[in-house]
Amino acid sequence: MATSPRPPAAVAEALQFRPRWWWDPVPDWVLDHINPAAIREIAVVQLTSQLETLRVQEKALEASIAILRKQK
Amino acid sequence: MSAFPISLRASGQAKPASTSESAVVARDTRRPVLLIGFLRQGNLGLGYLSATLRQFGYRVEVLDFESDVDELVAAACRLQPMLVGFSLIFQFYVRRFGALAQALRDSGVDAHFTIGGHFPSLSSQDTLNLVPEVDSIVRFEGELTLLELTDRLSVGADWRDVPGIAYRGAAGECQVTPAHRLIHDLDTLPWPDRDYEPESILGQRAMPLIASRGCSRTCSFCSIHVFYRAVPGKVVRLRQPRQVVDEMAYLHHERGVTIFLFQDDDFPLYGKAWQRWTRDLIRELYRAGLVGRVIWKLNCRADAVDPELFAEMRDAGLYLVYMGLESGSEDGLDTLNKGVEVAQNLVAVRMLKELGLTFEFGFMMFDPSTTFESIRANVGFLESIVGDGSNAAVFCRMLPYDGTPIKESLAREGRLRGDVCDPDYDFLDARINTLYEDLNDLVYVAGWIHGHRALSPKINWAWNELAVMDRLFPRLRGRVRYEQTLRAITRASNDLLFRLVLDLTAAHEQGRSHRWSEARLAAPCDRLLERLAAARDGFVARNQTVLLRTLENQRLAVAA
Repeated sequence: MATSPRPPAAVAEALQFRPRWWWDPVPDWVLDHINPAAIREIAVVQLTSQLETLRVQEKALEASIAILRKQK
Repeated sequence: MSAFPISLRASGQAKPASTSESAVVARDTRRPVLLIGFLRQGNLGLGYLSATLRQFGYRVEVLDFESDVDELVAAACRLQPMLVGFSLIFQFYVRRFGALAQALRDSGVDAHFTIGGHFPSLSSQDTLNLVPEVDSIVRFEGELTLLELTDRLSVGADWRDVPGIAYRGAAGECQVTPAHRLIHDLDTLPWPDRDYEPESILGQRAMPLIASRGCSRTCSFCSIHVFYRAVPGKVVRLRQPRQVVDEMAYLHHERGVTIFLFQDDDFPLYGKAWQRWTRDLIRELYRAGLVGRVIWKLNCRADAVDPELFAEMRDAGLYLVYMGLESGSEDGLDTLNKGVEVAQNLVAVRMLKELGLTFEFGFMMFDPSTTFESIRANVGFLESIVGDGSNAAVFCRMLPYDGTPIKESLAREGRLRGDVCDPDYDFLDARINTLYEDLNDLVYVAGWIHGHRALSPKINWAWNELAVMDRLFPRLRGRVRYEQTLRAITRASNDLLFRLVLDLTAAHEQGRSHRWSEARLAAPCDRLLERLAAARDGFVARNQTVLLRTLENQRLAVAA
């Protein structure tokens, strides 16, 4: 449920949607073939790319602010 | 040092489970035993082993195989166990168990290493080759064998003649000792240890248990019947209904468990004798005052669904039925040796719907007999059972596990591929191989059935939750509307999935390209997940006060 861009409804801890434990891990091809070290590696890649995106966005915002200030 | 007779008994019971009951055995219980296995959904196998050892005075630590390797190594170094037992449930993890065993040895853990489970029992030589650090294998039902092995190790005695084990001979060859008989009376076993917090569904605590062991059927893809038939003794053994219900009552009153998940290989429902047993179980549930306070789930086959019996079970708390339907084509069912026809699968689903019971099912879209025609038949079957949005479609490919008849037959035909960690086979039509790979990439990796999105299982979890709400909570505001929304989401998800499978099937059959891609599937998949999250969390949030108050009242009632 992590894909929703909307703010989540305020649901108490005990009532959260937690399906994961229920599943039979046999056919869970993606996660089953990844060990914890690889999961950490993927997380590092994801965070690094996020950081890069934010840096680019920061530069773009700075440029936008500069343009707006000039127009003022 | 202490001496006990070897006998497994539940409290107040004195039935022998071993032919060597009268033998007095020396044991030294000062060093602990460490058991490592999967603990997701609870691991009853390890629970029974641990309880058996503890009954005879041993200290036992059970750790989760999915923990960080460093944590497991640190725990083993701290405990200094005399024996480390690995529980290998799924054969494709055998190398990971091997790596863990190696890491433990590298860190100086000098304990005896043993391993058990279906794969080590049925493929002992391969296991010894793949996990060179293990000293022995506990084959088949492990309680008696592990106890005897631990006893021998504890006093430094030779263990190589313990019944039911395999080990490396002088030349590295696999030596096997005669196996124990299957435990005739399961109620002589102690109740399994459950040293973990229960998982929960909407705050309701859930625990696994078993009422029986063994399966009388002979499905070609399954190693369970091979496992039980490989040793002497009665294949299917049922516990006494009163014992089962006593265990449930204990877990309800002492641990606050309200959801019981029966993990039997095949819950005893088929035929008059087993139906009588089930009705006795129901009577015991009423006697113990558990009806209306607890609910339960079972696994069964389509030919066991009987409307009268299931209505009685529903009234006594049955809330969810998992059925191994496996195929919607007659050829598929024949290949899998299910012993049922498509019509029986259809009737079973219809009966469960009429009874208002939520159901889940296992389904193998692909098996060694798969043709383009059978895929279309399977999609047609799925459409007819869940096209109404009653459940999200899930499916997988049959895999040829070790010890199964179908693996042997694929090997004879020269179609077996892969290895023990990734067993595979060729389809009869090479185009189906590429279709499967294509579909696998899209459906699994993009996350329809599995993977990080796992849309279908999440939808089915929402249905599971709704069934729990209906049975363990008061009537909730907006329930009908929520069910309609959930049904609409399920229908939309199924429709798209079926269209994808049919389009891909046609494209591969005709040798043309198709328009589906992971990126194209991701957007509707995410939209459906978003709708599901909004509907589910919105409904729960609107009823949160009632839900939480009910949980609190139930806890107070259990404590009282």
